[in-house]
Amino acid sequence: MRAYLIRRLWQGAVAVLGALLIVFVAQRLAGDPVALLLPMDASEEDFAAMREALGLDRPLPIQFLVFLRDAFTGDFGESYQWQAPAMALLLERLPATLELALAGLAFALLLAVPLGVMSAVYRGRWVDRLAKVLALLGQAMPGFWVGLLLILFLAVRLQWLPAFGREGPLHLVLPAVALGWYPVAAMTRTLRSSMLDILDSDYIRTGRVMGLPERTVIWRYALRNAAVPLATMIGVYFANMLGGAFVIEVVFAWPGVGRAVVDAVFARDFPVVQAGVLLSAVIFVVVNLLVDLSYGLIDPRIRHG
Amino acid sequence: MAERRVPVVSCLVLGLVLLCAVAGPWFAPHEASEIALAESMTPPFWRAGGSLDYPLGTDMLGRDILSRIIAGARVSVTVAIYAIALSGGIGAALGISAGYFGGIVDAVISRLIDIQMSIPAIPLAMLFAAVLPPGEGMVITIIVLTYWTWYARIVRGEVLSLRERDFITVARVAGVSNPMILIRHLTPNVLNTLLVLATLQFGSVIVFEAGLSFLGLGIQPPQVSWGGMLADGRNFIEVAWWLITMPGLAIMASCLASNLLGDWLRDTFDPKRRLT
Repeated sequence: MRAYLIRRLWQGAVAVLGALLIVFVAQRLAGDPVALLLPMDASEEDFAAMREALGLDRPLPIQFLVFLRDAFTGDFGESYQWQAPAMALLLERLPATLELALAGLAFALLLAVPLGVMSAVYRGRWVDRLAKVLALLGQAMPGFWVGLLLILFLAVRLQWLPAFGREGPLHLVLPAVALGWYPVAAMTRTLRSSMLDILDSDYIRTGRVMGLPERTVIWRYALRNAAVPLATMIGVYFANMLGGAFVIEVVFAWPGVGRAVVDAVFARDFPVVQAGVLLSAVIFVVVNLLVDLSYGLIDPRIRHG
Repeated sequence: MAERRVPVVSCLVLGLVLLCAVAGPWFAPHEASEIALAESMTPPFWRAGGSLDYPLGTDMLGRDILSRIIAGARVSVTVAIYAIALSGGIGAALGISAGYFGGIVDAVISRLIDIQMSIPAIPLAMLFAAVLPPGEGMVITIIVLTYWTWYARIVRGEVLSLRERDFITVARVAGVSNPMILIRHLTPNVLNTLLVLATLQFGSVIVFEAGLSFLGLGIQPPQVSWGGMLADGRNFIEVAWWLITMPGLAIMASCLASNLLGDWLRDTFDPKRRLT
């Protein structure tokens, strides 16, 4: 367990370091920051002085080390638009994004678990076919388009639910459905195939022979084991939803990290963009690490030796 | 028996998309950017006020939706073809090398894959959108950076098992050089996998490009793209439902066709999978 933990932590650290390197390279590709900061008529001496002040005259590896030092203290510079530290700006908006991603995940599970179980139990019947069609549509309809359709039908036409902003639980419904739409397909298929394997196994037959009600056999004994592969996917999907939220937040005017970053891209507000990319990379790595470490809790048979 | 028609229908849909991309301007009813303010917001022909001149209706500037969807196919297909060729080529080359050579080559390439996969695709796309000049080139670059790992990971796995097979050992013992083994003996054996991945990627790329263009970070007007049409239509969602449904249907149909065809190809190449 200890060796495994150390190896996973090391891999996570390498991944974050890689993300930092990519951001650093992109930052250098973005062009000379001095040209953005100084007025048009600045002299050569002004440029040189500014470069020296910002440390841009030093060799690239040194600049990268300085960048790393700043990054570890959470310092990504000030937002050009808001004149405030970039990371703090985004962290302020993080709860809204997490709320949206959790709600999206909840919606996806709420749909995928019953659908996956039923399509395995009634294999080849209409539930199974319905699940198959939903899975195909889920993968072919981009989340932002689903969001637009939801706004069109449920908010504009029927006026059942609010479409824009974040003012209460009702505002969460449409964006959560749009965000949770995509992973439903994969989750349903995963659960279906692991359920099919498990329904064939000896202990399920034993349970049935002992006269346990079918409901108990399926929902208590089979699902508990069949859920393991699904549980391992949840982390990945949750982390991906944080990325997907970038687009969904724009569709629904949701005041989260994603919308701030998209706005920042338009405003060429680079500190905010790079803080956003690193924030999502760190969350992605941490969530996946936690999921890997929690396998043992979900299924005691998996203990990392 | 409905299963058997799946590849035929998928090919028809994809064929139609390709035809629009290649020959669209010759059969589109209007010029994609032709403005006719008097005809603005005409509904599709089956609704009151619609006309067959504009079968799927017009947008706020009176531009024909059908013609714009046909024109949008050109951008989607161009981006998809370049993106697939580049990410497939780079990914396959790195995957084959990692799997065949092992050791340090494999370690470096595998770490690169890990790093790439630990950064969520959309935030990474934002980063490059902030840095690169917008347009087709940027969209293709972002897609290649996101998707090469797909190919590299899967091809690497296949080559790892191929490497141990007798025909490779025999070739090596017979003194065939490494580049020759890679090109003549390994590449043909992963071609099926590459074809399946490329087919599946087509739909995925179309959705990705539409997403970027919808955000305004991808294809820029006056070039027509399905994602850009959705972004325009979004502002008129209360008055003109066809502006956001029609381009979306085009995206969905292309993506659905490519997914179905990809799945079918995979099952055909690997009959074992059909049983599950």
